[in-house]
Amino acid sequence: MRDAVFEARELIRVVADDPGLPRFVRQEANRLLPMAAVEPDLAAARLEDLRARVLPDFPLWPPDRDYARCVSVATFWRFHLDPDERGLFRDHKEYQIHLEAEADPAASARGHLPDGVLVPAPHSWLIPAGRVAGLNSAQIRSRLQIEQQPPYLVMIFPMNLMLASGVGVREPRGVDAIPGRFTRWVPGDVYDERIDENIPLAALGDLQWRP
Amino acid sequence: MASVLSPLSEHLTTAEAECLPAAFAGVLPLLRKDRERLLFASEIAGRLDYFETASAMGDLAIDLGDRRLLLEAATLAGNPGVEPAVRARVAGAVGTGAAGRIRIDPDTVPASVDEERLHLQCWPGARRRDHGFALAPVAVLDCGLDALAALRLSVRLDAAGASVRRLAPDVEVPLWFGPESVLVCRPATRSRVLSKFPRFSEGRILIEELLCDNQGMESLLRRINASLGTSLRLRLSALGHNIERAVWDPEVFTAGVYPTREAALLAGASTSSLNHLHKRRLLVPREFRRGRCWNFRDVVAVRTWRYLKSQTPGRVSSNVVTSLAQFAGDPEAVQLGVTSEGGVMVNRGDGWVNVQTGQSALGMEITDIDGVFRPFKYGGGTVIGLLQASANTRLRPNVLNGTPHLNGHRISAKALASVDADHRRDAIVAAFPELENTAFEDTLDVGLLLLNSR
Repeated sequence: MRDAVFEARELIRVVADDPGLPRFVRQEANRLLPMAAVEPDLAAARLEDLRARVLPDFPLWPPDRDYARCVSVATFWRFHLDPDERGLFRDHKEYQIHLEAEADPAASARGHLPDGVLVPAPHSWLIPAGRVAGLNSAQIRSRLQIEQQPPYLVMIFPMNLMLASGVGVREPRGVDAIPGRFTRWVPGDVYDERIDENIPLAALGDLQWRP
Repeated sequence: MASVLSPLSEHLTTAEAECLPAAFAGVLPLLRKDRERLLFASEIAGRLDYFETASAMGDLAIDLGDRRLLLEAATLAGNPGVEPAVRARVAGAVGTGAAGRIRIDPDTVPASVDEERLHLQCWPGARRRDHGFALAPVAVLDCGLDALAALRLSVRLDAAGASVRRLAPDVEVPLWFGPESVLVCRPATRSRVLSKFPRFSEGRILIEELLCDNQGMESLLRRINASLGTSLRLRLSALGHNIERAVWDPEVFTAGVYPTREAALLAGASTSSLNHLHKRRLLVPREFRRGRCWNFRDVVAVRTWRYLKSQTPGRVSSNVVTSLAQFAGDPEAVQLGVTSEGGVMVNRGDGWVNVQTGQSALGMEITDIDGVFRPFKYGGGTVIGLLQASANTRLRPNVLNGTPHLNGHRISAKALASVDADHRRDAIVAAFPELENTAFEDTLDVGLLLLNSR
């Protein structure tokens, strides 16, 4: 299924190679390398601990523009859909076919979102909304290097709603790649990318369908 | 998901593929502390219908109190291959919740439109043509088929948007067989299903010996697609551009430029045979100052004739060469065949029809052209595969003028063989640096064969 040693080593490399992280964080990550070879899961857990320790030190700032998050239907189904709603579909393919048959798929999907936290902090990767404005799904896929096939759902978080919801943003760092195991992440990979704490449903402006 | 499953299925042996459901069942408990991965693994198991994991998944879901995992286990528990005790355990944990009950028990009566839609997703045998919902087509695969080929087919079907079910031997035939289902099976399973669902269309039962190669898979996917009818189709475009266009699509079938020696090698004939066919006006290649050029259709025509001769003890009419050389391709075709009398037959998803007369084929022995593309023995030697001459060598008539090339690269086999007189790997990599970590030795051999052909 996965090469745990390779994954742990790559995560360590992502953290250790990020010049935006404090020196002690990078060194501490590097020291986990021998452990990764014999106890990869433990090394990954230690990286998680490291992340939890350094996150409070990263300053957040109020958003100065609208932000967006683009997800495939499979990701939307797995991480964003109301669990009760999800239970009424056998799998994400059935959900996608259902959405595609709707006159307004975006409105239908929006109706399936739960109250409360819409995007949990570890997954709250955002890009300036202007960077995906007017792009079709193929262009989005290429620009954001999304592995999954279209269609995509684009969540737009307007600046005013983010401010009203108390949402702050910051530049992502290597430690942010740990929860999602983004072993291929490099600093500045997606220009102007931001990450945030939990994003509530109240911060969502528009939800767009890009077939 | 496809990016995980495709490489997995490409690197397994049949024996490993047979063990894969049990391996999944063994791995799930190890992921109990990593919920995201546990859900991901259970989702893969669900999509491949690995009902063998239902017990481990159900126990974990109950233990962890994880409703989402429990619903995945309930989906698998609906498969009749699951032991009744396991199903009862999962059903007990699901309780009276409709989302769980519907997954396990087809007799659960839906109480709302949403529940009715879920019921039809889980139990496609209950679908009617006018159900009014947008639902995924269902492909039921006989568990008795070759495990590796079935896995590869499942992965492709899943990526193309179909819901995959595995029908175990010696279990009750479930409510899966309706107007939006296709069954790929062995003959015995066909009888089992038809005895339980006599109204299930024969046109949607494909009796197959599954083949692992890409060409066989693509052909089968097209036939599954055609048998689904026009209203509900697979998303073949999601599988890459090659699957979209069959070699007998007019734009592909009539493409390709082959000098006589190359055409002869690919057709499994000698250059003198080709020239003889030309002399008899059975084939009309294009004439250039530097010699004659044949197209893919000509190569297929001669190769088919040779193939039929290799398979049939009796006489094979050379009419097959003329008929195929005159056949301009058919964009609707999912299968192409020939008779030993030289008739070209096409299957557009509703049975064989003669392309010249338009008449249906009744009682005729038809040779599927798919076999022609594979390597075959003739005249004491072996004719190389046409579309896949070796593991890393491909031929597409509309790519590089149809000459065999290295898979995934626009580098012809002949170009590889021409780089260095001693065919040293380092010299070839110096000429094509992108091949540094690529296996191309087999394509080099094909290139040498082409360059040295007489």
